[in-house]
Amino acid sequence: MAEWSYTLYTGCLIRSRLPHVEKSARTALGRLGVDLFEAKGVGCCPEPVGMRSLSQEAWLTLAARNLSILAEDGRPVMTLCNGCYSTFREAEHLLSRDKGYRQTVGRHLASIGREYVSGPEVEHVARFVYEKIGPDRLRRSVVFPLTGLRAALHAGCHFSRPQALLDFDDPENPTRLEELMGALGIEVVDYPRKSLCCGFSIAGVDANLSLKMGFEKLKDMKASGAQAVVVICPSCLLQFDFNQQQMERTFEAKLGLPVLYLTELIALALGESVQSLGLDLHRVRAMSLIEGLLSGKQAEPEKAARLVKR
Amino acid sequence: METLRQCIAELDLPRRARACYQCGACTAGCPVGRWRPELNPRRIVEMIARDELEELIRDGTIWLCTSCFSCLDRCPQAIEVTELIRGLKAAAARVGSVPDAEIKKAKAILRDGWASAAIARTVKQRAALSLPELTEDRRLMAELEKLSSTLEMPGVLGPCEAPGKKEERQAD
Repeated sequence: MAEWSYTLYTGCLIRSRLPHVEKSARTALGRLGVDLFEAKGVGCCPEPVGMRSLSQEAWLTLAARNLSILAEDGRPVMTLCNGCYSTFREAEHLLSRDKGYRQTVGRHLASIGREYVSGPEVEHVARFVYEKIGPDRLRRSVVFPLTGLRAALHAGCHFSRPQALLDFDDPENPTRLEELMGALGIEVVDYPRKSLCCGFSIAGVDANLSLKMGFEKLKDMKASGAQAVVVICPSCLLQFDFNQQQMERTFEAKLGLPVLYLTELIALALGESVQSLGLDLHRVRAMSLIEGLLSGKQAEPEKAARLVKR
Repeated sequence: METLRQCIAELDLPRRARACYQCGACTAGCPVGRWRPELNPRRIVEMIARDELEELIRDGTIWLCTSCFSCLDRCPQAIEVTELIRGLKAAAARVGSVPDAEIKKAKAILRDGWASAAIARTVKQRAALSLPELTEDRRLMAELEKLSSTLEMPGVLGPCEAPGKKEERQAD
């Protein structure tokens, strides 16, 4: 029997644009002993920037609807996106401490035959791996250490801010996820202004400014010696990976930095093949870098034997 | 119909900004202000105290805020700067000063269930990676349709002031 059971909530960007991220999360979590169950009947979290600004009441109602559905089977919820994680945690916080919100949202939910129930535990995959698995156990599970890879971490805003609510790591200088990267054998590159936002959420408001924010971050990472960027949020991934070529054109500079989601690296280090993860779906080619790393590496014998048994 | 002044008054901003001593920690950490000095959280809080918000709301600058919460986390006086700016966005939306992109996204959420709908290419890629098929969820659609009739969201659900009427509104 698996050690943990979670309901997987992928969110809009991963289900609609980033199947490789979902694949890697399912694979990595499976290998780490997590059983995942499908979320049925849920909709957009909804996203915590624009829609929340237009109407906090509507945002809160849709979030509460999702939480009430997710609470039905009693399992905790695994999110893969900082936005979904933030929406659920913030919504739960507002609803649990404010009777006014509970009444308003309760009225809306009653109109669709639902009621507000105190939400399920909501987890972010990166936080889960750090807190429940931990760097030591992760290191012991590694079959193919990703040694030789120098990478920079961008954790993103809504993973640890507001700090008073989310309470994980130091948002100004996050290092815990870097411990996980280290456990996989990756050489972590520090870089200036690590905590600044990637700029994705304002792409529709001011495209050029959004690109500039992403570009400057990538430039800082590259200048610090990173060969790749590690993210834990689909928004940051879309910004850095899908928009990187546009950044290079707009600001006339070569970046060429592959952008990987944390669970892709975990899955690879735990022995998953490059092909089965769909790494070719990255816009900035990541395959050659990863294949170069893994080529000539032999799985550590004892661990490989364990892997076969599985 | 409400006026911008009424929308702002409801937010009770001066009380929520009162503790500010203008240290500027919020602005020093702002990832947007670094490139666009017109988005200046310190100054926004100052304008709240001075009751000079209407211009700020009408010129759309506040929508550049990414809601990264850096200003809120950094404030030594525990002022929820990001929340104040979000309140200003909400007031702006109620008088029609809102970027089209935000309206489109919110409409998509209520119409399709998701801010971003799966495209044909993704459907194929998901199948190739043996991921569960994405199916339209009838229960979700029916419930969203019902909620759309009771929820209010400026520009998305219900009436929204036409852009041309802004000046009139300001005068009343």
